[in-house]
Amino acid sequence: MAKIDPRLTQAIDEAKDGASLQAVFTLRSDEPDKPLAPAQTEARVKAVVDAASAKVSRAPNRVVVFPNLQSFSIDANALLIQNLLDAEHIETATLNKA
Amino acid sequence: MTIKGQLDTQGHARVMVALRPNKKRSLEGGFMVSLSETIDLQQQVAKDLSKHFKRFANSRAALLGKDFEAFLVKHKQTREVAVEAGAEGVPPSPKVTYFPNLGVMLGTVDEAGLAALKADRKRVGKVVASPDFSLIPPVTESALAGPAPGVSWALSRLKIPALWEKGLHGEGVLIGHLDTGVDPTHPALAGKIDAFAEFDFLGQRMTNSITRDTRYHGSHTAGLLVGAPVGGVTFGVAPGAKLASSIVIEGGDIPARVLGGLDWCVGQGVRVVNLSLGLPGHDDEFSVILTLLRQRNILPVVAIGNEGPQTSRSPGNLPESLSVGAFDELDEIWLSSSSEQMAGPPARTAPVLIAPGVGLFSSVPGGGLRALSGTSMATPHIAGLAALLVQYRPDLPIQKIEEAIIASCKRPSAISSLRGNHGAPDALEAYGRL
Repeated sequence: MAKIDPRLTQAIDEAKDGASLQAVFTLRSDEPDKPLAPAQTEARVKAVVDAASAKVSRAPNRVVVFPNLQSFSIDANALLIQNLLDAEHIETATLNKA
Repeated sequence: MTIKGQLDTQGHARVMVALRPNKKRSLEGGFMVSLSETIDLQQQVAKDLSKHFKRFANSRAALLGKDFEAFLVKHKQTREVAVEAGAEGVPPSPKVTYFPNLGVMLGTVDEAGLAALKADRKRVGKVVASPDFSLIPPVTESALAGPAPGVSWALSRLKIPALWEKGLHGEGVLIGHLDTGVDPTHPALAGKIDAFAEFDFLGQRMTNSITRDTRYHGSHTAGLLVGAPVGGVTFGVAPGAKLASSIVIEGGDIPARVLGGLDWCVGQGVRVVNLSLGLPGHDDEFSVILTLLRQRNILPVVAIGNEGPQTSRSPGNLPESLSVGAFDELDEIWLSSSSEQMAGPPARTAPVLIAPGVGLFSSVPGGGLRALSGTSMATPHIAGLAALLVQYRPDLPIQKIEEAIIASCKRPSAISSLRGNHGAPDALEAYGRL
């Protein structure tokens, strides 16, 4: 079960059709004490975002991968971000806002 | 933080209660509260409702009160409290303060007290969380005299020169520095910036960015970390170390920028990261990132915040941070140094330790030195000490370096464990433990 920032859930709920949001996601690693290698992170981000995009038929505006931190940030339609929350490999999700 | 969040983490919450009973008078077609009649009405209500508020030994108000009393004793002053007209029945106390002209009570409640206040709908208009302040920059000291020549009091207090005498200046160690940037032309920082980067709001590294400080904060913390002596004034903890410095907090201190900076630092090969920054409240989501840093053998040293007792910032308040508070030259806690007791799990007190952070001269853009106070200034002293110890024992996991620093700590007698936790480290003793 992903740990989700309540502010992100609220922002998704309040987003109108077509509204974009920015969020930061971290990925779950396969073994608890062994972080994903940078190449694994990049591949997994691509797979997770592509799958969510296909489901909602919308491409993200921008994705930035942090390969050394097993995470990525994304600017995308709220529907796509909502879909990412349910993705298998997501560990945490945070609204990208102070 | 929300009321629920405060109750979950501390067992009590600081709330603001707007009282309902008032007398209105018509005024130019509208209505206005009649202050004189309402004050009397509400004072009785406030007096009655004050039973729902409680004093908690670790509440922000109680800790601030203790700090203030110690200050008064030390300076041989007495405390004089003015009681507002209309509030005679509810004098200010650590459990509740009543503002008669507003008809507002500000105090600390537990769950039962909160429920009782909310249930009293006839007399209580609204119960909301006490408003939090946003980012408070370091305090600028009005130094009449310039910096004293020689080694700063902060370095002497931590016994840093004893490690220099052993040949440890931080050579070969790269420190991550996420801040407002850095002025590379300052004489204290010339040749100290090994790498520099700037990140946009989504954490994307910007190309062609020029090494610079967007304000002054970053140059100051950089000077405390690795600064060379200037004009006979010595203030840098690890002058042999170098920085991987990045701009992440000017123009939006948002998570993706900090993540971008951290990710870049990992890629540069840092062993210690200095984070003199934080977002108000608790962002548990950042725990994952700090765990990843530790798994990569990088020590995150993080400022706890400048908002006083029972406040803290993330990621400093997360269990994965080596968090730092500030004390002054007289071994007293800096009144604005944040501290908080968290129910957990794990139950803990933040900051983990304290370091000198008051009236410290360091580099600022333009070539000069300036005195600043804050946990932002205390943090580089611990990050710099960690860098010296990493130079001594580069083979050890960062956990061992951290353990040695914490084990060397002693708490000044005038500082409670709630405010100073383990106390201040002794560099020489930490060295001896490795």
